Amino acid sequence: MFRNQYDSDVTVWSPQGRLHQVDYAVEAMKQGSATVGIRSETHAVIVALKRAQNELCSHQKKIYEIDTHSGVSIAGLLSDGRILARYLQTECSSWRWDYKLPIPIKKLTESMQLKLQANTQYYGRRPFGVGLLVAGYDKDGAHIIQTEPSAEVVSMKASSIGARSQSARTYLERNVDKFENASADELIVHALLALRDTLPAEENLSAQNTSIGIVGKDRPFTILADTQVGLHLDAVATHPRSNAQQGHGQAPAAAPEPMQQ
Amino acid sequence: MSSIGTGYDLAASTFSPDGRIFQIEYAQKAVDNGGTMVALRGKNGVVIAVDKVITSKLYIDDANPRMFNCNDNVGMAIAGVYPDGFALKDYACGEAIKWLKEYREPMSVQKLATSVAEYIHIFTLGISRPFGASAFFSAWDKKKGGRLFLVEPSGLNYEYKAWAVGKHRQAAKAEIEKLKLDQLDVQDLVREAARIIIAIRDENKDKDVQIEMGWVGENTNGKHEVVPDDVLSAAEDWANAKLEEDDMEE
Amino acid sequence: MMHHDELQRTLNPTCTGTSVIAMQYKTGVVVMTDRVVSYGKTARYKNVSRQYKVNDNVLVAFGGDHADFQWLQNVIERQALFWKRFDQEIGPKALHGYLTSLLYARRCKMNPLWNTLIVAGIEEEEKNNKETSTPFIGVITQKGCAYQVKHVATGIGAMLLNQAVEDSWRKKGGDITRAEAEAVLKKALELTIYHDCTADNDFEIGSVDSEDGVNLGKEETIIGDWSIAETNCQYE
Repeated sequence: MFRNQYDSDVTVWSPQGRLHQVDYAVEAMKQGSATVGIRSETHAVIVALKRAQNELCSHQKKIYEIDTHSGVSIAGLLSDGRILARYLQTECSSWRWDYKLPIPIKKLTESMQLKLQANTQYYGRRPFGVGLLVAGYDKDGAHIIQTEPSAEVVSMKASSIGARSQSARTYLERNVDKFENASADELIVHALLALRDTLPAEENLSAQNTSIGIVGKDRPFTILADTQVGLHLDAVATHPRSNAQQGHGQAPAAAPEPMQQ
Repeated sequence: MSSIGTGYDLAASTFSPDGRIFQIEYAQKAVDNGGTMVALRGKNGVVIAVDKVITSKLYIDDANPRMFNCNDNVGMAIAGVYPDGFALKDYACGEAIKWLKEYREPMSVQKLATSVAEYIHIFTLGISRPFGASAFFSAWDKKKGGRLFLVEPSGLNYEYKAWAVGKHRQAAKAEIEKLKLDQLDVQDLVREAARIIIAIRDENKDKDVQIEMGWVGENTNGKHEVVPDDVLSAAEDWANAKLEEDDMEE
Repeated sequence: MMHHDELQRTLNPTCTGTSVIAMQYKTGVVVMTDRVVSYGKTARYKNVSRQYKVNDNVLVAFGGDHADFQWLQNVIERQALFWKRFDQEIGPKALHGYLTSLLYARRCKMNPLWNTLIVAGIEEEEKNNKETSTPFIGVITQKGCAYQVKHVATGIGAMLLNQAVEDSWRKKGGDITRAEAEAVLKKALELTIYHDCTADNDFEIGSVDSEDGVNLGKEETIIGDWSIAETNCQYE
């Protein structure tokens, strides 16, 4: 029944010093539709691919507002993600009660890491089967934080998690040097191009299946409306598909002109 | 130590017939597999260095630090599974704050190490799994000089002159034994720690690695700090030159 | 007569400090307190500071009960250590917010802390960018009523000095130098020693500057001009 005798519970170490249940939870995250996050000096953007179970069903909610200075996108078990998003919202609001200020992103993500870690250690719990990308802006600048079910929480220049996210990461790694000084609109285009690379050739991004969240200097966190998403997708459509899925073709060399909101 | 206790190794609450608790040994394995961490106590301070793997070039430059402060004076360095180590760091900081409330003075390194050791020990009793992390605690003051403690997944807590944990600990300890520690000041320790870490790297496997160091001593006025980038890169340059020189002699 | 299930809180502070006067200037804040501890109207202890340095960006000064503040000082110290846990130094805005929550919670429990607090400092909008940093003065009363100001006098100073301080501030168009701000504070202190019997003429001026950080002031003394005193019919 089990792959080995050390994988039935999170509270069991394998002889090699691994936690198999935790590794399996990371696999759950990899099943979820992809999400991409990128930050510049002044902005952080998260984009996500929404799936619909069938034609009669609405699309999943993949991006949540956490506070005016932060939002989160989810890959994996969405109901686990919703719980964590609610947790982050609660942390933000109680910080505002105490200090009358938004919570520093570092503090927010450290609390998150401790919560995730507890679920990899205590008997009777399971790890969260979900990965998050937290986008935030505070006095330390713009942040993209990636979390995993294993409680690995790390601050990134850019990140992608979820199904076929390797293709997105390939795009991000090739273009990582362009992000630091990019404008908000350029960041969105980069993120959408990376996200598009996670799709099979016959599918494409649409205003229905794409979610965009942005936060930055003088810009509270917002989830863009479908019409705005459509405008950004128009800008992306001018770039040829990289066909990263097939392993050939090239990522577009330069970011396009900033577009109107 | 590395044997498998079939059937008797599925919980920390189970002794094997020969009186071992395998779950603790397996947790220790998680530390043994991690990046090498070297801790040195010299004549006027303590330096701790770790070789960190940079998993992705998308990480920010100083992602996942392993050197922390529990309070201004006490440094804590975590080896092994990162989230476990981070949970220990959080506990230690909480204890330091509690101490400040109750005694209105900063908690000492010895008290901190003891308190974290007691916490870790509870997790070896069987309800939860043991921590897959070890922690060094360091401090220096004029009266007592340098102090260095290591707390392990078993809950053991010993004071050391110098020690190493992680992947290449055996090679590191062999190098440490050659040092005349009580003659080295903090600057020397930084250079020697860099030299040891670089010397014991496996050139084929240890790629995309980066050294991180913490120091506390007379030079920092007893405050624990992360060693600044320029000092660190100067030490690495010195270490690389020294290792090259040694190669020539051979 | 108190019933067995009734409870009476402390109704008076014991060892107290009087007014705090603070003012912003172009690149920082100056804060003045005198250095005497009063026991009722007795000048009970001399050479005691009423200013506490939190870190390089924040200074807290207080009026009211010394024992309560000594406890608060420990609270603040722990709060500063708590912020270092996630690699940050607590700023004046956050500390002002936190102490507001604390003092308000205490008064709601009918057990107020007997202090008026001044949180003074430099608030960073962006890390390591002095261009966007701004001076900050926040006041919190014993009842948890909190506000931010460009300049303030607390305690009996609120009745005596606020107008005088405000007038001097306006005369300079609000854009004053550190030396000018200190001169205003000294003039204000002179007024308190004339009118406030628990004010002392030994004082200190602490400062938080965007360049120099926090400086706790040296002990200074002011005598004032008492020639007019002889015209007071109660003077002997």
